[in-house]
Amino acid sequence: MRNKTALLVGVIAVLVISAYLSSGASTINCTIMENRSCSNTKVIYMQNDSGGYNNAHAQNTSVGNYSYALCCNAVGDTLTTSCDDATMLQLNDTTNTHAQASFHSTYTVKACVSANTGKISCSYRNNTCAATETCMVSMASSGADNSTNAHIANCSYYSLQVCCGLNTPPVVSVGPVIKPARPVDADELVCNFTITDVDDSDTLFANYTWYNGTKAIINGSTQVTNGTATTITLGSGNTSAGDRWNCSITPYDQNQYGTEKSINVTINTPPSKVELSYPLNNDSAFINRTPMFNWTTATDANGDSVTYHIQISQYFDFNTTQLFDEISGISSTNFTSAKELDFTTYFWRVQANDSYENGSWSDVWNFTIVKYIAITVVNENVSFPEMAINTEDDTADNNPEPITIQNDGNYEANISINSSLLWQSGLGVLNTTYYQYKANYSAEGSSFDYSKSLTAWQNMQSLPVSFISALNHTDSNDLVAVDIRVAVPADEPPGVKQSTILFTAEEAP
Amino acid sequence: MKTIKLIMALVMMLCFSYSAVSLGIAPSSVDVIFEPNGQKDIKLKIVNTDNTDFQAMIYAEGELAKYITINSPVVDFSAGEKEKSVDYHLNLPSDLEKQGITSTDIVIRQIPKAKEGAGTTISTSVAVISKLKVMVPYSGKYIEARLFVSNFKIGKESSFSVELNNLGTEDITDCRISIDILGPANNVLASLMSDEISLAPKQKKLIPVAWTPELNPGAYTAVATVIYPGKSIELREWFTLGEPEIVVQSISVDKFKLGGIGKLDMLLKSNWNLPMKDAYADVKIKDKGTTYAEFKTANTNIEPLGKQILSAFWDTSKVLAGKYNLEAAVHYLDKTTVTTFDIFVEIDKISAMPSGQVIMATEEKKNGIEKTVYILAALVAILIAFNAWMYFKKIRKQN
Repeated sequence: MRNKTALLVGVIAVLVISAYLSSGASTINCTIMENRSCSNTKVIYMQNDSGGYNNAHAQNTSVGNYSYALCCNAVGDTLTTSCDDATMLQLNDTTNTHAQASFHSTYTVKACVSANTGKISCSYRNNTCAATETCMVSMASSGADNSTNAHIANCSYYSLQVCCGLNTPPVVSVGPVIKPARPVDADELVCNFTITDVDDSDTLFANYTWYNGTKAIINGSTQVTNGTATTITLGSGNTSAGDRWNCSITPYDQNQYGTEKSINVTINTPPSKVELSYPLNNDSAFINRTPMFNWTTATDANGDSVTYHIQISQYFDFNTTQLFDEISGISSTNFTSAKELDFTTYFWRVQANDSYENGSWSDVWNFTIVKYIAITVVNENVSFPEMAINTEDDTADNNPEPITIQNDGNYEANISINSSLLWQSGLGVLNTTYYQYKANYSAEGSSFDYSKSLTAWQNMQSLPVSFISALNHTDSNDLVAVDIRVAVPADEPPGVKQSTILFTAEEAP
Repeated sequence: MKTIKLIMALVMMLCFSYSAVSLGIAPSSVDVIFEPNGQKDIKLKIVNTDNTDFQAMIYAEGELAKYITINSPVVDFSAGEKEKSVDYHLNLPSDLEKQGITSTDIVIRQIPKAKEGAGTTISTSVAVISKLKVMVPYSGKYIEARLFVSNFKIGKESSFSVELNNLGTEDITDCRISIDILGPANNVLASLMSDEISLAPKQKKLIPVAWTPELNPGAYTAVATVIYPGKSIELREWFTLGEPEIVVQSISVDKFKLGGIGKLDMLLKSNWNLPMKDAYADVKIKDKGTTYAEFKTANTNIEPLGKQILSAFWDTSKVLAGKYNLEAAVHYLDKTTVTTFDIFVEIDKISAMPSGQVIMATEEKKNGIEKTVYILAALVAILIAFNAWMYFKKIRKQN
């Protein structure tokens, strides 16, 4: 219920303000009427010898017992008889007295009129007042210009009229607003505002001041058009990251200053410079072709969330059309390129962004990827069960399991094989069918160049023989099986038989 | 040769008593341009890939072995040592007769620990080789080249880079690089050409050749031809642009009766310029977040950049007419794309539209005065209503 009432009151307030703003200039309404009938502000009292109000003597408000009063009000403002704004007339005494215009200085009793909000000014004109003025009374004397030692009357009675106008101060009706709302150091600041004045004919000015913190840096005045948006610009050369700038606008209509309005903005501070972590700078023997680039978290003085922009290039100058890879908007402090890096030198750098501007680029680091050959024998031993003379066994049936070799390097590898003696007998020397090998697919499938590899049984040699060609290095497909076949020679003595196979890996041409 | 035999004998002897599993070496090749009496220290990184304790022997084998001195022929690794650097010194002679590359192996051979076995046991040992390639410049003009492909993105300019190495004895002043981009059918889709390049003997240059890809996502081949007087070199690199993607473009249902089997024909669209094999979909019908029905389609192949219907069958015997949510997860290669649809089941039809699609009415433009009048009218109406409410409230109180 309370909310509904507040809403309705708000609506009414909007309507009242709208009505006020659309009513044009404020005016003073004055009527000479019987003293007792005036319920508004009595500015001066008047009475003639016959009890009327024309050709009358004047009486100051401090007495107030004449029959007639100049009874005044103003729309949208409250009138008083203080002398803050204007002296309408000067009187020779407080009662039963002649009047003179305020530009004279002989009479000392003042008949004044002032407004609470606006400002009243009075002047003396023959026959008619200006359009923005209200005729208060007329006056005449035996003197040439009627302006002193004068009787007073209603406005149509004498030719010299006392004209008073009510001025309403201008207001900053829109803004001020500074754009951009979150400027960066390179931005100029544009202060946008609108000044309106209900006194249509006034010449309006905006007195502006740019403060940096509490210190006024630039100020000035510019003429503005009533109700039209105006901008004041502060050049980017004045601002620095972290400054707090204030745009203050005071409207002025050459009569009065309106209320000052102001707005603050803080110049964004860019995020800090990023420190790179990995790959290490100047690593000339880096072996990971899909490295996770790492850097430290950037800080942001404004507390903004930060993203990162990385550039990777084979060229030190980071020409944007020659980058190997580039990505922005990274929310973490690492990045892995979708494309495998090649065997060359790469330069890289990172900058942070706080969604308003970029921080400084990090230092430029570089690393050089070199070919790396590494193999792992996954199951390093093959044990055949006890065998009788003239029997044979092999690993082709996975019983026992074959030897498997994995390429852990970053490039295709060729692998050669040789072995020590297995049998002690004269028949079972190397390079005989008693001890053989062959390359075979593993569970990972076609991981090597089958056509260029030795995939049929070969006699084991004492010197290396290249038997696996171009073993792939990518993790999903880098495994090869090596089958072993043994046949016990007829003259082999009983006992434990042992042999060691040597696998030698080198980069494929 | 005697030295090699001795080392081999020592190694074979050690091999009888030890076993081994893994080893790595970087760089696995080192290129040196021959200079008479040239000296060079070369560093190698031995990697303990399996984090084990072992010893390794280092020795040189090959034509230039006599010019090589290994500073530490045996290195010890403990399990915690991931890698170690070793150096060898190359002391080249005053002359090498053979032009071109002379290769020599630096062998790093793990000395395994002894293992006991029974029966017939075959154990293993590993060695890795770092090749030393000494290049004697060719007389005349001779270039070696390598092609590098950037991680190109569609519509964004980047560059191919070609590394040129003048390994001849003469200046090269009029070299050019042309690059053709080939599609899957080896058709030329774009051709690029570098500016003229000059190279002094032994000079190495990296030449960028700019390209802005305006092609469909897919796989392509860059063929670079380095042309210089009397000779040319062809280099090939396979690369991809963008990521393969299959999306469900629409769903249609023909001849449907509620209570029967609904055949949902999903129209798949591939963005990739190569065939996509064995694509299939997992389909879920959801009602207010709860999975109502779930089924899997058969596999299908999609032609390059093609479209294909994938059918799913929905038993609607227990289904009421109304709005449901369909989630189609299409699986292909190692990827999955999930598309959701709102489906509207009626007695004799099912219609589907992608979720999130919003029908927007175009706002009729009114001029400023009209708008102001409407606003004021509304405010006046509110004011009247407020006054009336206050009036009746007061009357009620008085009663």
